[in-house]
Amino acid sequence: MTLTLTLREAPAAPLRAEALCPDRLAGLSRAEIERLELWHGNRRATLGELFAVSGAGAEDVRVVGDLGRVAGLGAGMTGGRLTLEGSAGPHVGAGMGDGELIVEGDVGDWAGAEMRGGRLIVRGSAGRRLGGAYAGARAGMHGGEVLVHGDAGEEAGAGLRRGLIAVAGRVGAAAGLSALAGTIVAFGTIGAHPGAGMRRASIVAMTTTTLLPSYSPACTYRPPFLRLCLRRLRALGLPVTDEQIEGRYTRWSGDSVELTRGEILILEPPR
Amino acid sequence: MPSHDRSATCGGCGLVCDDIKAVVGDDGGLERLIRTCALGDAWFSERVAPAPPLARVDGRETGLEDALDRAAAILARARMPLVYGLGQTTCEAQRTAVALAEAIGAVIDPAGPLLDGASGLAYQARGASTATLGDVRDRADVVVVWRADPVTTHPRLLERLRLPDASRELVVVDERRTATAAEADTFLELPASRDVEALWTLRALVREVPVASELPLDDLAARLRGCRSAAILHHVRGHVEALGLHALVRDLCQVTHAVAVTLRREGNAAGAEDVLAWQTGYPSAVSFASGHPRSSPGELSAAAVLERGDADAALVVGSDPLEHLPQPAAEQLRAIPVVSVDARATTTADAARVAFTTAAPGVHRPGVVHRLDGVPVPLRALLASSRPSDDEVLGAIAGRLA
Amino acid sequence: MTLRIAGGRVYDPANGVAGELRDVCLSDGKVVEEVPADAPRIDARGMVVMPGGVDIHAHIAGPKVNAARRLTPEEHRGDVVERSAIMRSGTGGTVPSTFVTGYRYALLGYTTVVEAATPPLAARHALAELRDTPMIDAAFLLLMGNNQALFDLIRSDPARVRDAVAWWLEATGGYGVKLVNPGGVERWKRGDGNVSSLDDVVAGVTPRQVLEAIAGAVHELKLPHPVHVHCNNLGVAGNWRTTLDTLDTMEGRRAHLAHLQFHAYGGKPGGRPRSRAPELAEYLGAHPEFSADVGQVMFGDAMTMTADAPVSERLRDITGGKWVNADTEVETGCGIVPFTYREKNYVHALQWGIGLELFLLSRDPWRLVLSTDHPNGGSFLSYPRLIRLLMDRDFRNEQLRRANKKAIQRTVLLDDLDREYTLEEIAIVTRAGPARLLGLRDKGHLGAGADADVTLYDDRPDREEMFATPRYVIKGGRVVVRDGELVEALAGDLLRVAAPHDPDIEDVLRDRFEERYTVQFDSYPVTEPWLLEPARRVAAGSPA
Repeated sequence: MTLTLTLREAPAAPLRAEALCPDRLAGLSRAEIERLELWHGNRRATLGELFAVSGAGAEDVRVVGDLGRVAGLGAGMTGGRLTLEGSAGPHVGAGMGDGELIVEGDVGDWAGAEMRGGRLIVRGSAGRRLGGAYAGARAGMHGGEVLVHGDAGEEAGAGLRRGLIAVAGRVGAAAGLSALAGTIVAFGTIGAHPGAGMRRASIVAMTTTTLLPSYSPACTYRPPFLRLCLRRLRALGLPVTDEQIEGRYTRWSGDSVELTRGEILILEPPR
Repeated sequence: MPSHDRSATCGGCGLVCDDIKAVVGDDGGLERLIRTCALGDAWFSERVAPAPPLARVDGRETGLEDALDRAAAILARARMPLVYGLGQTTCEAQRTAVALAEAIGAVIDPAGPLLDGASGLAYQARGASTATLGDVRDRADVVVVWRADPVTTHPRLLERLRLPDASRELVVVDERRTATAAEADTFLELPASRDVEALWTLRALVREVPVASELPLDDLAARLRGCRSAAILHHVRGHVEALGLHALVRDLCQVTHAVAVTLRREGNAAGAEDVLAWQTGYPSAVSFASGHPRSSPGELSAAAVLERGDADAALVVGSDPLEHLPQPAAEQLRAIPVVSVDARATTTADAARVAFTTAAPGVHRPGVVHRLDGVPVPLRALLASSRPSDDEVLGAIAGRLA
Repeated sequence: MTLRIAGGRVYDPANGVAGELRDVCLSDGKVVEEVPADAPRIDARGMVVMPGGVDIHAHIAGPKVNAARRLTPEEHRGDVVERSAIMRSGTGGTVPSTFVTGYRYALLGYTTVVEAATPPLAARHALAELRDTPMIDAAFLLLMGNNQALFDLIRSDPARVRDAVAWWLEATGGYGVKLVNPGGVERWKRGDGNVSSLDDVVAGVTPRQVLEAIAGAVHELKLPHPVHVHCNNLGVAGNWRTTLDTLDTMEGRRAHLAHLQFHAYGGKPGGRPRSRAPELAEYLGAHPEFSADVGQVMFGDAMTMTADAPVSERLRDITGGKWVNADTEVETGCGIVPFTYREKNYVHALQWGIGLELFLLSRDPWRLVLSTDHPNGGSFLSYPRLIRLLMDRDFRNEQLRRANKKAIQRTVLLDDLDREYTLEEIAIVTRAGPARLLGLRDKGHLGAGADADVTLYDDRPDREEMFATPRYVIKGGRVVVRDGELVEALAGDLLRVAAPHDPDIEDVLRDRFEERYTVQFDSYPVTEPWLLEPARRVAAGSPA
């Protein structure tokens, strides 16, 4: 059974929709769902005023419409499947613990921020701080997988502690900023200064970019873990080429002004 | 006419010089200012006798009560009102503005982060080492001005820090030879686009770890490492740059004493963030929409809230955002009802639905401001004014919401 | 406005009342002998009635507190307080917003709080925050232990120090005098490192000279609260000798030691600390002129914030996390490091154990009072848990078993230290004692003429729950908390001292100001009515 929530009309003000995740809907009747409260700008509104509710169940929830002004969809979800059929606002899947969140369009800033587990799939592009840390927090994403089929903005994976972020398109500047561990894979171009202040994480790039002077080349090799990782990403539907799986990567180690335990792996052009 | 000499404090920039003498004539008018800089002269003259009437609606003069009613109605109706500015008024008015923002469920964001760069997030990420101006003056033997031109923006800064000084070193890092660079012992030319690279290079040099950089920063790093006390006065823009700068200062603190000071532009930019922080826990980009403070710099920063078309009304306090917001945000501000509360004539006030031109703190009213280094300094009342203060106008608007 | 609190079990140690069933009558904000029989009443049967709590040492307002607030958005976002018809909204965490600080103190039954470290130059900032901290009467202590202008006077014109101290208090609205690592912070700011003994020289003076001069001035001025000292060498193994040396330097003058726990370590500098709590408790017991607050650390998140900047530098290198340093010209330093005390960590467990030792070995609860040095050792919200640790031996022993064994073995806590604080003793260490040490004659007791600040608790066996949720809190005769809910928000008074000084001191100080400060001498004194009113002055000259 699928529960479908269809946005009735473009909201007059930003909508905070943390309530729209499978956990919070579980066990509720349709009437109860319609009575759930959301913040619509500085007013309270009921879910039923803003969304038409159809179907039932909470294991498979679809939200339909232009959700660009809806914030926090799927934030904190711990299971089930949430599909957003449209583009969504900021904080999509932030802090999610488990389950699957699929966005057919784009997402705003802080998608998957500080998430702990589960999988976030974005068919379009993501904004800034994808899987990142919120203000003041040292650690961003703690676990799980984020797959973006389009591009990602600046500071993707800021404070990344564990988990995988893979972006099929372009990745903005300062990816992996102050990251602690975990993996970021950029299949398109990658912006300047990846891994700034990074401690242990791995950033994989298929094109070269402006690296910080506190990174130095260590070796060129075929990292075994990377093949597994890339095969898995291919299986998950990202456009991974054989050259990328089989290719040689130059390992740049850094950030020397921090722990120097991080690495940036850059695919060598085929000879 | 010594009896007409009054002590004054200038709010023309973040330095808030409190050693100003104002000569007031027999007629109660301001005749002359002593020790002001050009910015200070302009600051006073804009406020002494502003041309606009006390209250306007749609550009036409109206009674105070009518304008207050209109302002309250606009703000009460809004689903996402924005309260913006605050850097040029007193802590007293800032307190009232935050209370009003809370009452109307607004987003409130001081102008400081937009005007002064992104240091706030870097501070929240890692902290900072800083000092008041007196300790910079009396202790720092190497002063680095990083991407700032205080001779233009804070004209008395060097004088107040007793720089240049043969026994101390003044280094300017910027992309062109600024007025400040002309005063410096050393000028390092560096394109803004290379700030991150330069700061990381300096960090590596200070930490004595390998670095592959062609930037000529070895001398500066050596001087910083070797000095007794270093101060970096800056106006960095980007988040990564700010992280790098604060990290550099922290690295330096392992080998010497080091501090950084943001050269905030507005006279009470520091106070705006302080007041907002003590009332809410957050220094900027705070939303009261859901009944409690939530902060999200970027998302809830004024420019972003405007650009997305989220704000449906604005209360602008002591600020002229139409003159400094990015174009898309400014256009959006023109499209929504704006209430302006200011002590001077501004473009924003002229375009506002409701505009109050109030008595001026520092000219007609006393008040407290926090200097760019956080030191509270009193503004003085020099002249009489029959107009209410901005604080009183904000309080009266709030009173109408009850 | 009158009120009869009828039939409660009253603990009013200052007036010798220990658990008697009696009525407490309130009228016009004061405790009175009697109110008319038809006056409104609270049926307090089954409840414990105490004066409102008095916190002698906490950090709640001013630039360093605000710097810590700004530093920790990640703590605030999970702990929010909604706006209501009577309350402003805000956020919590280890350093709550001002309104929330006031509400939460009141909800805990505290009605008077002392901000323990205000840089005089920032008095306006601290005062403005206190104005936005509702529910409590508040006082602040002025930092004077690293003031270069005072050092000048101590060197060149020691006879004027007394007038200078009084001038500073008058100029800022301060209540008392605080010395933090006297001399050490200035020495560190000069790049010469911290002091390690009272006889190290900094700017021509020694910590000992500073202690003697300022404590002497406070003594001669007969301020209601004696000099409040955060000793040198905080946190350093072996620092108990510095603590004793500091007290010896007082030569019979009164002194209050802040957060004694942090200054009660044996062992060698740089080595593992040991407990010297028994020795210090013994010494304190034998010297009635001295008092202390404990500065208990509580396991969990804390926020270290101190004028003792060199200590923060050390903590920075331990945590590797966030660190703020802020130098204030002429007067002081400031350091902030978020910190988590862990029960399995040797040093943390030892600190926790030393605090408990001090409490349990204390011979005179009037002179060793409760604090966590909020938020340094833990939030004031942890006071109820601390009270349970003192009152409930079984609970304490259970906690002892969880803590680092090596550390606990270094204490005497396992040596049949089975003392349990009584409710009377709790009333002393949380209200009567602090009020007396502060010289606040209207606080901390329920005799006629006292402020009508009263807290009523359900007498519950779980003392943590009991003290965490008072049934009623009455401030100035008004019921502000009922059944754990805030029912009225009101503004408290500033408590400031009135200490006369020779006006000529201004000429002496003016020259030193022009030389050193970057604000004008005439800008320095706080004159703004909104910052200073409403206030109550407590006169110097008649120490309690």
